[in-house]
Amino acid sequence: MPDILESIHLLKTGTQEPSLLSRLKESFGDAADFKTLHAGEAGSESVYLCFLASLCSTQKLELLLGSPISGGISATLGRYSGTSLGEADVLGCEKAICNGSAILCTTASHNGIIFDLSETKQRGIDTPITESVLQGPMYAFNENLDANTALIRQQIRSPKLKMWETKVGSMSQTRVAIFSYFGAADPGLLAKLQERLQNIKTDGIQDSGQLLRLLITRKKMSLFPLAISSERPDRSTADLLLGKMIIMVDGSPFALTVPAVYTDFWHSPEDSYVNPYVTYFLLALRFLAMFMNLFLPALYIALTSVNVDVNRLEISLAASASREGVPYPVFIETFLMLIIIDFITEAGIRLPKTISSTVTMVGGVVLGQAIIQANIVSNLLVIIVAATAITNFIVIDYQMGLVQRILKYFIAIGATVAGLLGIIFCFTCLVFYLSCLESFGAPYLTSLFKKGAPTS
Amino acid sequence: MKAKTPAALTGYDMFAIQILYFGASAGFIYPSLLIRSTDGAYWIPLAVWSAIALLSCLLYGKLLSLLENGGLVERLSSSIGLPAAVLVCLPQLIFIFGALVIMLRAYSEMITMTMLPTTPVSFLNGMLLAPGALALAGMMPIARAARVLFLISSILSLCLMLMGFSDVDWSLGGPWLRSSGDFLIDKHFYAGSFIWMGFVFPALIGNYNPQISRRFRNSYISALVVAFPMIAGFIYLPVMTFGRELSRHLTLPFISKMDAVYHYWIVFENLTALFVSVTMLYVLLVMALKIHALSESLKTLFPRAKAVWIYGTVVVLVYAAASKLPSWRAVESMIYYTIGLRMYALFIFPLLAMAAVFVAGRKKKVAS
Repeated sequence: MPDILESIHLLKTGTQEPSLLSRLKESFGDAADFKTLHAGEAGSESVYLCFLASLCSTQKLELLLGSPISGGISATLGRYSGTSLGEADVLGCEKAICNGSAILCTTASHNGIIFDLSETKQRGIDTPITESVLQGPMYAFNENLDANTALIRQQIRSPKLKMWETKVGSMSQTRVAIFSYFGAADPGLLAKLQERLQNIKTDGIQDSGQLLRLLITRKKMSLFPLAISSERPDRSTADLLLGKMIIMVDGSPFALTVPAVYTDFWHSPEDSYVNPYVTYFLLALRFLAMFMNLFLPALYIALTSVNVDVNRLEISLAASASREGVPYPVFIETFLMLIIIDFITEAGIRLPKTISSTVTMVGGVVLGQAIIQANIVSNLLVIIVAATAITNFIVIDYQMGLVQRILKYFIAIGATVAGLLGIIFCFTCLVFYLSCLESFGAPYLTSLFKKGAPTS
Repeated sequence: MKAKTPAALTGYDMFAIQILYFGASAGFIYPSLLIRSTDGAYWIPLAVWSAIALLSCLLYGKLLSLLENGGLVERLSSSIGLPAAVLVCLPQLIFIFGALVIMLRAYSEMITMTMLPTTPVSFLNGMLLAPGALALAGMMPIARAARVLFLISSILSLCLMLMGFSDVDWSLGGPWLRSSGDFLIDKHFYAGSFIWMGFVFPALIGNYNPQISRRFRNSYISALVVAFPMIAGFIYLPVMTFGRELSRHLTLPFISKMDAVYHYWIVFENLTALFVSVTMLYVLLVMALKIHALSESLKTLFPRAKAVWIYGTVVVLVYAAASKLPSWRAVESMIYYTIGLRMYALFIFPLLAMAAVFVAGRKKKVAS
């Protein structure tokens, strides 16, 4: 194509500085995937194409450098007629190469022509892994920001859906986007988020969870998650319509919803798709599970060691009988079992699926049976610990589930020190702590039922 | 944590706080005081105190409506000058301090008597740290915590109250209508004044105008209406179980009543433990409110002092004073000694403050 050829002839040459080609070779010297290929001759100068083979599309490269056709370089470049081209100096060319583009330059030129040959590596749209539902959309975000944007746009086909984008990370240059629904979202919060994102100083980010840690100052860091991390487009778009904001990071399949209040973590996306009465029942079930998860081991400690008289005599006798022969105090016995069950849970999550079922079987059944027979713990405690583990999996949000796992130890310590009163004291401390928390300007303790956008 | 500028509470927030106040103060010492105060019908002194509290609440309501979006102590200070404001506020602040000490020690004593007999009271008094931290966080966190605790504790209290109706003999509750007015000359009647003063603490916190003042007044009236049967239950249930004479000699009549409840279908045998546990929810929140009211008033009167130091000093002093009290009898004596301070807080303080605000307003008008 005469335009590109003309551009090649017009590239800057003639100064004392080293040429672009030599500078690029120097910059990407130790990168095995950096290629410089001879594309042809333009007058007396050789033309080279520089690119990172790992980021460029092989199809597009094939088109540019594949089988030679008659007419030389002019005919080859003619295949690119109509595509947008850019021109840049050394820094611009380096950046473009890192983004997957190829640079066309001559041996003496000090700048180059940028060809967009990039190809995004991504997996397909899959089903959600951490938020599975039985009814509702079955697709999830993936690691590509553009694909995720499309998924959101497909759910909200309105010009009121706004998207603001920036790059975070001096080295990684990761794209980060904030989605908001105009008219519902709080503009003050949006401005605050934009400011915070622009002020982040880091080399690079890999996941939205990491971004959340950078968004929240160390002073305001809390044990509880302050944003919902979701891989479901339906959940994110529903939150957008409620006036919340979605933050997405290129390379992460999890969208962050802000602000998030405590009760948001107990709503499943499925709640909106089933009968409302069933939703209320499920909500009640989840809260019951939360209380059981927090209090069951602690109650066991309190009622069998500190407040023995609170229980009915029959139950106290049964508990004492089951503890007969156990050499440890109740709290050691309980903490031992809680830690073992957490080991098993962690092993089950980290191991490949084929092995994890075996570990669960060995841990749950074999170890449980053996530990009772060895008189290390009581039968009753095994039931309690099993129930505690099951109720932990009812927690909708993974991050909140992790917090619950920690908190049960805190409440159990309270029970060890002061029995029932210790449990109540620890619970009250938790309520006090939660009431002091704010998620991006919204109080963490607000209504159970979703009403609208919480304002900052 | 940093103390924040208090925002206006909603009516529901104030209602929840007032109910929690009644729950924290009416369940343990108050029944014995009221039972000892009269030979006639118990509901009559209750109704008299409700009317007195209502009158005082209306007085406060009127005072708060004059504040033009300002704080009470702040306005007082700007109206009559700092030294005079300190003088007017001093009895009020001593009253709150005393109320904090009594509440902490009485509750710790109650725990020692019922659930943890071997645990040192000084260790139990350490529970003050949690309300101290909440108080430092500000009024809005207190209100948010109050909403949650109200939801949980009201359900549990209602269940306990309903279970308290087992084994009652209604004839023991009489006389139902007759009263000679003997309670009016009995010190126990006046000693029980502390349970009716829940509105005094929020009045010292935050900014008020006629609209917020109306909300403040209405929420207290609603809370009073809702809490009246609860308070009556705390008094009548033990009386209808043990009779007047025996109840008169009990230190904690409602606790004894809870101890006497037995049903085969109740999982827990010892309802006292449950009652004491539920009361903890009320007590911790109310102590946070009192610490906040006291510290915020001090902060206004001594603006140069750092908030953290004021809150810290208040917590340490309350802890030390509560630990220093030698026995339950000393707690009871303190209740009698502080009757005058409570009367000051109920009537004299709002009247003085109203006069100060009124005179300052007139002077300003004349000057302009």
